[in-house]
Amino acid sequence: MKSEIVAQLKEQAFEMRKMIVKLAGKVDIHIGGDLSMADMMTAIYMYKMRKDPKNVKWPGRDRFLLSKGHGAGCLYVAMAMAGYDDLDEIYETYGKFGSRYGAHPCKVQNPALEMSSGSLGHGLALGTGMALAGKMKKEDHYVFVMLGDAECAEGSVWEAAMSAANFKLGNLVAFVDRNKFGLCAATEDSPNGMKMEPFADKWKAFGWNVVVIDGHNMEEIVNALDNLPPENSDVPTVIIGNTVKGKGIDFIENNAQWHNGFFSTSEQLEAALKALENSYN
Amino acid sequence: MIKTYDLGENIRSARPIMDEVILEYSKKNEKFCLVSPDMTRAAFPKFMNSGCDRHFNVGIAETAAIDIASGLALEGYLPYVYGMSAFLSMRSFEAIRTNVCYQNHNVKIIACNTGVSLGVLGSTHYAMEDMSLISSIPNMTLICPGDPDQTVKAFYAAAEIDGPVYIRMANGKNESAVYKEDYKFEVGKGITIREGEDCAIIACGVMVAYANQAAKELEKQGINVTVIDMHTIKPIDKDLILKTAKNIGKIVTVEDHYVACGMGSIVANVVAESGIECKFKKLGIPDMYPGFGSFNDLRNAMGYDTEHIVAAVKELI
Repeated sequence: MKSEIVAQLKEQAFEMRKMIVKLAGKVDIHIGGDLSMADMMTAIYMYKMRKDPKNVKWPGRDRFLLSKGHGAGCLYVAMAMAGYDDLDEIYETYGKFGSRYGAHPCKVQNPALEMSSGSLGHGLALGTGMALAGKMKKEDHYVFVMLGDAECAEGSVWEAAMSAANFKLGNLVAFVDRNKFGLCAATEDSPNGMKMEPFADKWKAFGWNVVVIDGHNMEEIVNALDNLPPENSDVPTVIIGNTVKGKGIDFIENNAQWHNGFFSTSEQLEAALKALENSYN
Repeated sequence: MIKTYDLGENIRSARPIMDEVILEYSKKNEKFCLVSPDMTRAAFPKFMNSGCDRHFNVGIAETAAIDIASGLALEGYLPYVYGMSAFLSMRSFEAIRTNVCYQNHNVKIIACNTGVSLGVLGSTHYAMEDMSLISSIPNMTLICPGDPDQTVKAFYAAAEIDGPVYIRMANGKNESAVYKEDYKFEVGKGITIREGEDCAIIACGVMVAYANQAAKELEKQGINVTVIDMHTIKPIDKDLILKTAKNIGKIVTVEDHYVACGMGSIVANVVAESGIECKFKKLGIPDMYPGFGSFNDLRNAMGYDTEHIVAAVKELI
């Protein structure tokens, strides 16, 4: 049964990546980070999250905050796959005047979102406030927050991490898309990057339950989600997913130049889709 | 004309006054929360020790305080953030702008120790630009209570507003009460404390008491001035400003804040855009970083004590 679920999620992640690549065939998006978190986003939206796309403010829903707001492209297609949005509308209007879909998610334009993000380092703190509220109201939903690894250089991430442990927020779950790249360079092996290691130890030192997985291994992702501590437990969890920036398209993987970008010709788009297909064979 | 105290006649402290108010309010409104970057004990010790489980000390982390309050507001709570104005307005400015105001979250901020009211602590702790920062943000309401007890009125008024509010307390300790009788407090409506035709003094916050005292001293010299408590900085009371500019034509503004972009400048903008001829003088902190000293000595040195207000009025008329 579980293997069937995992196989289906793998298929869906493949679909999600295709949608991201097609979006990048139209506009410049943060494609590197979109592709690196796509597997975790698939499992969150298509497997774990309690949600009602027709009733976006349903009190019992799990909350999802995209702290790494520049991953809007991945979020939009995930929400389209989950039934919130119309994929064609995203393709046709992204970034245009009057659109609900910009390069950073905005709940003023798109009320299905929990928050507007894009300024890095804030999502975990808002999630902490929401989880605190959930705990006071004795609600049984989770608050999920997706962070970028380089985002964790922001001091406000650690302010929030400290509060979340202090207030015993077991209903708060952070995911870190550990693709080991910032905008400039690799985080660990470049003189131009900001080192994050020992990354898991940092979270442990802040009192978090730390789970380190391969962020592209669907079975590991599903296991991590299946084994989350209950919502009413006392320790927040961080799932650090080791990922590859640009995952799925060999010619953009692990390349800081592809932090953001787009496929400006139909030949490039075809090449990207072909590379993606090959990566799944 | 509203009955008022003389400067120094009735010394009041907003912090203990607000402590009682918050303690009572926390019992009545189960949605009320107080989030603080480790500052609660300095102002609201009774509330802090009351056992209320909606008090959250997030540690000395102003950005987290604003963001966590924002998350609480998203879930229907009514969070007030209490902290020192210099740090809340500057260190957390982006969180206030992007996570509170941009998304129009129902977060209230009580910012203490504004202007040079902290005296000896120095320019690291003086909030001299918070009104210019905070007033620039859409969706924000900015209230600067005209005396210690008015903070209570501002607190309740803020709770009624569905959106962000910033309440700019002074130091909250040992400040002159202005109002000797009750009066109507309405957000966005300045209060005319006394009326005179020779000149108008528009003041806010702790400076209302000094402006009022200056008016009393001017009266003894045969000069009758209007005194306005401009407690709401955003939205500013345009009607009252235009009426004053038109009928009196001479305005002195006074605030415990940089003169460059504070209340006086906001008032001046309204006058300038109206085309009404009006003589204008702004008093407040000049373009500098003040050193150490008492609140009175600092204001005296920087030219916005009672005697300077008197002199400014005389110069204008």
